Amino acid sequence: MRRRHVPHVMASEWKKTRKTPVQLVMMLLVPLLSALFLVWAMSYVKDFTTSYQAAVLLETPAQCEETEELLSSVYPDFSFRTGTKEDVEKILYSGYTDCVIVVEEETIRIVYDSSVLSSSQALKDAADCAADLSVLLEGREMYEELQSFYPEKEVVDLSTDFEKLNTYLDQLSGVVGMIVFLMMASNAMTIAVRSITGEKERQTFDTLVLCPVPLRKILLGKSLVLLQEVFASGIVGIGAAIAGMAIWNRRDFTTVCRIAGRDIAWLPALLIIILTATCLITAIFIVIGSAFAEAKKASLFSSAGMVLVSVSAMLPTFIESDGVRYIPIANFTPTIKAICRNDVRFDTLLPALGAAVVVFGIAIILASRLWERNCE
Amino acid sequence: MIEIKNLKKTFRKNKVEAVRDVSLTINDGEIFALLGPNGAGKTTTMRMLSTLLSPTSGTICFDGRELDMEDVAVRRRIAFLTNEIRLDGQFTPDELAAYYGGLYEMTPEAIKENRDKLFDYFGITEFRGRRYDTFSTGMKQKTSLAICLLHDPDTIIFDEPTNGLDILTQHLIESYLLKLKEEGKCIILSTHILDLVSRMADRVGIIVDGRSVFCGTVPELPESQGVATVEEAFIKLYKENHEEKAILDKKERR
Amino acid sequence: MKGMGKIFLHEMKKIGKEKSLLFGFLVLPVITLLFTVGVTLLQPNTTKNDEAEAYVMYFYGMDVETLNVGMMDEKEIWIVSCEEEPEEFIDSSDFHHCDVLVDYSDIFNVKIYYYESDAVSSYLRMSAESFVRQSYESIYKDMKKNVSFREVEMEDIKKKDTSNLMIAMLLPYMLILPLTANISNFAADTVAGDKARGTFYQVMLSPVPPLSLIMGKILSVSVISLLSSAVYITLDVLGSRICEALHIKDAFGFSGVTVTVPQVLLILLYAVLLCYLFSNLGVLISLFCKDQNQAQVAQLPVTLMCTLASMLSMFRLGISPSSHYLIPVYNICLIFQDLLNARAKMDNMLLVALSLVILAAAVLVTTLLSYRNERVRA
Repeated sequence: MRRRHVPHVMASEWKKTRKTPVQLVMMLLVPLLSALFLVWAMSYVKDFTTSYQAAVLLETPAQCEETEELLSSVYPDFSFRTGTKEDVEKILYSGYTDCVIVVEEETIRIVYDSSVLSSSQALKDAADCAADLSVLLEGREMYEELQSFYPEKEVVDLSTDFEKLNTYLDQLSGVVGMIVFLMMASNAMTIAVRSITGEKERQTFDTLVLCPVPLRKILLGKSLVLLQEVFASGIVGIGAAIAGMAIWNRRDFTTVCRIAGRDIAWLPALLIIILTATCLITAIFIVIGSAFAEAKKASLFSSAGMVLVSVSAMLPTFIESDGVRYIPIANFTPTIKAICRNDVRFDTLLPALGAAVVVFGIAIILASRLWERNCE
Repeated sequence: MIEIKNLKKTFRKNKVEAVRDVSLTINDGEIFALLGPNGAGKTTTMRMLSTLLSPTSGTICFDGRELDMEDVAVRRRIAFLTNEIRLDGQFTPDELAAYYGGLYEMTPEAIKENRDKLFDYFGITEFRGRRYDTFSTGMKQKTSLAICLLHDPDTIIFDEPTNGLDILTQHLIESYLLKLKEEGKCIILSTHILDLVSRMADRVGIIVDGRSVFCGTVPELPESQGVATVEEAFIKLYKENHEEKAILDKKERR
Repeated sequence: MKGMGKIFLHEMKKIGKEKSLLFGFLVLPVITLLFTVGVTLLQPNTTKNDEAEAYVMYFYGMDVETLNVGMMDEKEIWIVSCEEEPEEFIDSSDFHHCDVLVDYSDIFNVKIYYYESDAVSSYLRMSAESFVRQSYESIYKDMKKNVSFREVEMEDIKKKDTSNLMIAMLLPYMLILPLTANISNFAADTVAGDKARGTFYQVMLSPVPPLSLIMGKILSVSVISLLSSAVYITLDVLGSRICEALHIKDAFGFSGVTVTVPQVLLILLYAVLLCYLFSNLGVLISLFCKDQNQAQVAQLPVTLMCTLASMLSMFRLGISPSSHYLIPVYNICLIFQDLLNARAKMDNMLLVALSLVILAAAVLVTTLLSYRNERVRA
């Protein structure tokens, strides 16, 4: 009979969660929406960083029409309108134009602001466009002659599929990892504060102490439920990120599927990294939750836990060492990249999981002592 | 004088009719006991009296003036103490007195005078420099009471004031309430202890299922029901009105 | 505003008396900073293209003089003639992922080999394309001797030389993350926590007008959170200055940053506005919650949205149109960046201030109306 205590506590804790709809929403909906939003934002930013808007200011409307007819297909990001040098600054700092070309009597002036990144980006095409303009303004025939004078151009990209994905993956997994782990941590914090610290505040702790069950077992039951809930929010978050990539970045998603689809190893690898992170996050928050008798203190110190989690998630950005692969939470980005390279290595994932499970075990022992002492 | 007429409160969130029809009159210089079983609507009525909640319909008049939820002038004249209201644990009684006295716009001299008087009476003086959260239950209740009465209110609303306190503290609080009554203050008590009602109250009001079913002097209560004791009268009133309500509800549903 | 000052002081004293709260608001940012710096120090000094000594544009089939054409990431960019067959050379160890090879062997069909995945190689590819165009264009122009073409001139209208690009990108995030976390904690404690402890009703019963009570709470939340962020940023700046003085690598991120007093004051002004807005939102949400835990959970979406807004501002590359200055929180990030880049425009600044003040007023009115709500008072 004694062995049944833990499942009994777990069932009761699950019931509590089910009866708190706000908690359920936070546990599942918030990671879902935030991961989706981030992936959308990343794909938006990806398009955004490579695009710019430039304007060509000509003397007469007739010039505008002619140049637009010939150049708009070559320079789709350029708009052609009438204007003079005086209009440049206003146009450049309107937020809609990154670079301006002004056609003057003897010169063609490219105006830009080197402190604005997008302005510098537009510069390359602006130089070509200005050169074309210098010829076009001498006559349409001459421009057409020059076009036929240019050689055929062939651009060969030597990057492998994975290399093409690399930068995007670095950014995406870094940001998604951080936000999903933060969500997991914040869920762990609220649940730990409610179910562990809250016992004392709600004055229900004494009832627990009076039960003929060791507190350690009650805490284990509570922690296991916390573990399941945090794991669920992690799965929802990562799942949403994958779905978001499939919706908003179909091209890269197809590439990833092509590479990773060769081997089913991606699924256990993903589950292992989420489980590893879950164990560590749960361990941190059960210790914090049981160390305090007041919710406000526990919440405050949980901020330290949140920092720990977010910095760990950012570790791969700072360290390029292979050692990161052995660190729970920090191993997220390297593993995602390994999945996209079809090079999943369980010899690094499993020790990390093992370490996280050990930390979880130690946390249970430490937390039960703290809980008992704290509530004396 | 407080006049409550046809007071009704329905909570919008869960559509619970906490108070259905309560009409009571409470005079100055008397202790008025509000009786009723759990969930009858006593606390909601008291919360409306203390400006914490606004009634759905009906009126509460303080000396002929209708009560408004933002009526600052009325708030200066009342004190409300329930078991739910506590004070910040980090502060000492002295600091709490200075803070709450300030909120009631009392002068430092007035705060000092009233504080010393109340602290002396309730035996808080020697603990005045200690944090509130280190106090025992009785000491906390006494401090809360002292802070509540600091601004010298005319009307004092107490929800189960002696609940969970030892006999000595109970006696101390009861004596103080009698002292306040002598000073002409109006005291409204909500309690389940009928002995306390018999000993202290001048008049009594009984609420059953959100309706006031009796309002009169303490001796009138058993007399009106043709029984010997307050307890018997209370039980009889409850049974009659609870059953009556069940029949009414049935009719309404039909 | 009777009683507001008293409530404000009382709330501040409450924090002063609670050592753990003090620890959270003042010591925690310090620990966070040290932790972040520690991690930053672990960063190796090498970049991804460390195996290459310089970035090279190789030209095959065309005699070019070996020429240094500029610098990038502290490495030189060279133009070098290539003797080997392109197909073989791109597989050799001499051709790095950051390089580019232009094959001129067929003058009617120029081939450019590069690595799209490498930012440097992509950049060099664009330069190579321009180079090819320019070379053909100059030959063409030489052929047309009797025609005069208009000169192409470049004009950089950079107003001021600022080295604050990096910090301008990071500061909104650095400021908003601890700010929202602190405000969420403290607003939850000061209202919902007070409700759970039963101390809120005592103040509600006092003759203090609701506006004073709400403002007192909001101001205390704002001040302590602002103070906490100030501690964080000040330490960060100090750390950078110490690193600079000791001539060691700056792990704090403020190295080389130059700000003027008006810039700092304006940033502070907007930080105060932002802080007020967050605090008011925190207090508004907390009013409807029973305890601190519930309030923190309910505030999570706000905290999250703010964090995301500040994150998105990090990806801003150009100048934003005026409409972007109307998006709450994001607009503050834009203003911070503009101020640090010495690019702030008065009309945008006013727009942001105005939109924030209107929003703050709307939130305050909602809070005051909510204060009368029976869910708050019951």
